[in-house]
Amino acid sequence: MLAPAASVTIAEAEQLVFLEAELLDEWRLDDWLGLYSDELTYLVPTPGMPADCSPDTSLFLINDDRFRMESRVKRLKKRTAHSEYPHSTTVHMFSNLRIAGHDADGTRVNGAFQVSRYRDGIMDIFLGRVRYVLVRQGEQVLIRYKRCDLAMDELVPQGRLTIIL
Amino acid sequence: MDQQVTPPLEINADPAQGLFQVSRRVFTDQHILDLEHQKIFERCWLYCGHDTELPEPGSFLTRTVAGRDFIFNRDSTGKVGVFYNLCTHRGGRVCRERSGKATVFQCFYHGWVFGSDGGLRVIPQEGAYPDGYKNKGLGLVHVPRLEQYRGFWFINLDANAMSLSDYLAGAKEYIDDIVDQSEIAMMVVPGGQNFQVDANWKLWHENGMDPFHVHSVHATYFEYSADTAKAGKERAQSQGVSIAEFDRKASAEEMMKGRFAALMQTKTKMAFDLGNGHMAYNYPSSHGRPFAQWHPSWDPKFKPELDSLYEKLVARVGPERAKRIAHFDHHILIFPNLAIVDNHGIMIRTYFSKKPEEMLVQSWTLAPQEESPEIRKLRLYSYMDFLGPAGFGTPDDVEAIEAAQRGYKGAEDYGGWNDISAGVAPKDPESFIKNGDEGRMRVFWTKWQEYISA
Repeated sequence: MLAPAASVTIAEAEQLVFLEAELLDEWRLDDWLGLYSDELTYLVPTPGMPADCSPDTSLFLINDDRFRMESRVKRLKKRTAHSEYPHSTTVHMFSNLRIAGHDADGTRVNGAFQVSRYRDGIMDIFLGRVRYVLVRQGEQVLIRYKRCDLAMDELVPQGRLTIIL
Repeated sequence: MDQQVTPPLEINADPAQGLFQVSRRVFTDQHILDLEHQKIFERCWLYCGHDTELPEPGSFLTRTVAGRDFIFNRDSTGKVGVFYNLCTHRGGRVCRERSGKATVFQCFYHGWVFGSDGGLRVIPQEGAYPDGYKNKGLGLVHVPRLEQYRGFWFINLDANAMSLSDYLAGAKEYIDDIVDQSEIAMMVVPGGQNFQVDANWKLWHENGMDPFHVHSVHATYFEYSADTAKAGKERAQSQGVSIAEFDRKASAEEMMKGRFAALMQTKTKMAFDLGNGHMAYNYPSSHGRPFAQWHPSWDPKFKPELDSLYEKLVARVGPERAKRIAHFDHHILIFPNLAIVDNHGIMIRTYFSKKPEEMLVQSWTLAPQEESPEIRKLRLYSYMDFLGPAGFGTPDDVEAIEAAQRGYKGAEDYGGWNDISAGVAPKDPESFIKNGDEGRMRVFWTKWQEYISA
């Protein structure tokens, strides 16, 4: 376990989140994984669920720990990940970022996201709210927790969610 | 299993030549979709919702079935009802919330008020009508038929339809194998996954029965599964947990061997035509099952509880049935548009097209009500290993059927046919035993043709 985290500034948080957006849009997925701490959680609840729903008691779209997130990246890099081959072109935009608090887990950063996905002639938009927990590890600031709550009741017309938000 | 189909129309069946083809027009033609709406969706029993989604008197959900908007609710006495979600006055949408609890529904357009039993309670301008006007059948319109089987509520738009029990026919015992995973009742876990797929509804149903897509479409899932098994094996060994019985590669090929070889010889491997266009198949699972089957890919800390669930199941239903329920994955396809898949979790899924090239998929997951918080958490984590719009399996199925749908665009130019002939006249009699065949899909198509031609 990490020691109680030294707080992260909003400038550091923005730099990290914008770098995440850039790495995802460039499909540099291994570099992107490097932005996360060893212990990590990446959550996307089922659309239409309340902001406090838990993956322990509700059906989610994504509930990744490090093992499954690494597996997700490994899969996305294969030609046989048919749903992302050829892969989508994305633009990740994170906005409204603010420091929502500090505690033993790290610094909580809240914001909004808009991710566009273009593939095979079809453009879809994913919109919602994002919550991060960032931690300081030595010289680095890393993501320990990321949760994206979609601002919609159903994935219509978006359908599958095979890109990383 | 393969019944004689009268050509021509949309199916070209010639058993002597080992041939069974379906016209690609059935996926693209608006006229055929209109026929399906009229002759299939307005005549068959359609899944609407689960009993546990309405936990108490007054609970309601708005739900779309066959493109219609319904209110699915429990009235103040606890009786389940399904009403068209429109006001009998001028057709306003009576309920605009997704779920909740209500003793009355008030149409916001002109203020008419209906009880939870659908009856009209208040007309604000009552003096403008004759005495007793509101009692003259102006309540919310009930769906023509509503019946349930073991907590699964179905509707039928045809008042003269056969009973749900007769309709489900041989599928009932497969549903029993799902429901009996609980000592009390199965429940729908919060969180319904609704998503659009840009393909015709029949392609999704067909995909659920298709044995031959698995290795190619889901290659990355099997590789992931092998990774989890490898990591889990090391973890188990480091904790001194014996995994000898699981010591095999978690590949699809290996799935057919080893520990499960004996099980594979049982009749349950076979695909069954369950009557009325339904079919189901069971196969030995190559992963952990949240109900009563631990697997090395899971932390050994879960093993004692899963083993104990299995022992309790044996005591409750006997060893033979317990093995079938806990050690096998189950796919149940209810004609025309319901799939119940029990593998990494239990998925209920329906699909319906308003346009030939598009469908709305609605899915939910079931779990035993009495399940412990630890196993529930494991179940919900496990579900996403394969299932759902962001799982490692489902999205590749979606890609496959969407790509096929796109391909059909030009099919009218050359009279294109899909080939579903595998197993009609196999030269190798062992072929089915080894690999399965496309007979399950022919069960669906044969019934589809029967309805469309009626």
